[in-house]
Amino acid sequence: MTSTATNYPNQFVHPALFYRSDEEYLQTLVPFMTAGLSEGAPVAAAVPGDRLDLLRDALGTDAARAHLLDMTKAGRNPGRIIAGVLRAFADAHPGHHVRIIGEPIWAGRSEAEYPACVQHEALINNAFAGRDVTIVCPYNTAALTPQVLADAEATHPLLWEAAQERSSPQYAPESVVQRYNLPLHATSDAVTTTIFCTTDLAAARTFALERARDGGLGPERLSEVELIVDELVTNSLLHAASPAELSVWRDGEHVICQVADHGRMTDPLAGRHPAPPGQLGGRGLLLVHALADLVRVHTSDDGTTIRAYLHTAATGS
Amino acid sequence: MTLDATGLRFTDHRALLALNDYARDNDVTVVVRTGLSTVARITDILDLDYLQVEAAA
Repeated sequence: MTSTATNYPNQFVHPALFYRSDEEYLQTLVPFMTAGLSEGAPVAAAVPGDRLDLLRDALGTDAARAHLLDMTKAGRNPGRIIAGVLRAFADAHPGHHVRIIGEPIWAGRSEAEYPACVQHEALINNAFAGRDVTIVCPYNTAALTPQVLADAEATHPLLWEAAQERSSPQYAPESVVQRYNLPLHATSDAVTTTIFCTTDLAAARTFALERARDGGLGPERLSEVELIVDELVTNSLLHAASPAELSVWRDGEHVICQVADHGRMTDPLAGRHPAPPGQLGGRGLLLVHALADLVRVHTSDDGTTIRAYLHTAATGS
Repeated sequence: MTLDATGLRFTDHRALLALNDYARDNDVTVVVRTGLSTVARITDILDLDYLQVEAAA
């Protein structure tokens, strides 16, 4: 690799790393981490558990000086990665050029998860514009589809491959956010009710709790369902000034809570970054992202639908 | 300062945010005694530094 974070002082650097093997993975990422550590820079890696083991073994004693996270847990819901993983680490180290490896897309991501993953990758560019941070995102070219790799070229301004760096001519993150703003189609399994005012919130929570319990969700997650539904319905009533249509159903291993209204969400980063201290509001969707295993959003002039997935086997995020 | 919220059935983040703001403005830590697991989750996720959650028996 001829270029690293040190070639871009005081600015945000966001390359995709295309790798075909464990060797290629380590050849680029271990020097990226050790160079940062030797400079005294804060270094983190949030990657799937098997990748984390590789890095930990290769780093040896240096591993103890890096912040290491299993992305399949910390970033299960891609909508919480910016606030809960990337900003949490970068904000804790002001005055340093922070180096982060973030691998939010791996071969096991589901069809439902992928649109949220690629939107997350696109939105990182806005979320960190002007920040003194490098976030390199590895993509396993041997395991991921050509479409995923093409999307990576559209969400990253720089591409690292075979020890070379090049600009991405396909870089167009805003168009990716739009392209993956996909309609969330209705399902016949859903049970639905409409909430017209905040005095109906308790009834909405009870409605969701009972359906989620029937769907197989455990006691700890039932309290999360109440909170998620309360925050989503409140957002619809307050911000969209519209009735909220609440639906709950089980889909495979997940219980899904969905709230639809007639408003349009204008900020694609809503709920994805922490609210500044002292700001009133702006935390409801952040909480939903933190609690759910996946959040899908579709917004248009006709309305907004937000779908929160809770895995029935999990005991809370 | 301790808030006995053992009888509380539900709270959203706005109420806890208001309580945290009150505690900060008065330079105190408020201990919230509650059986609701979500109170600790909200406090942790939103970094409500002036609240300390105590599990009620």
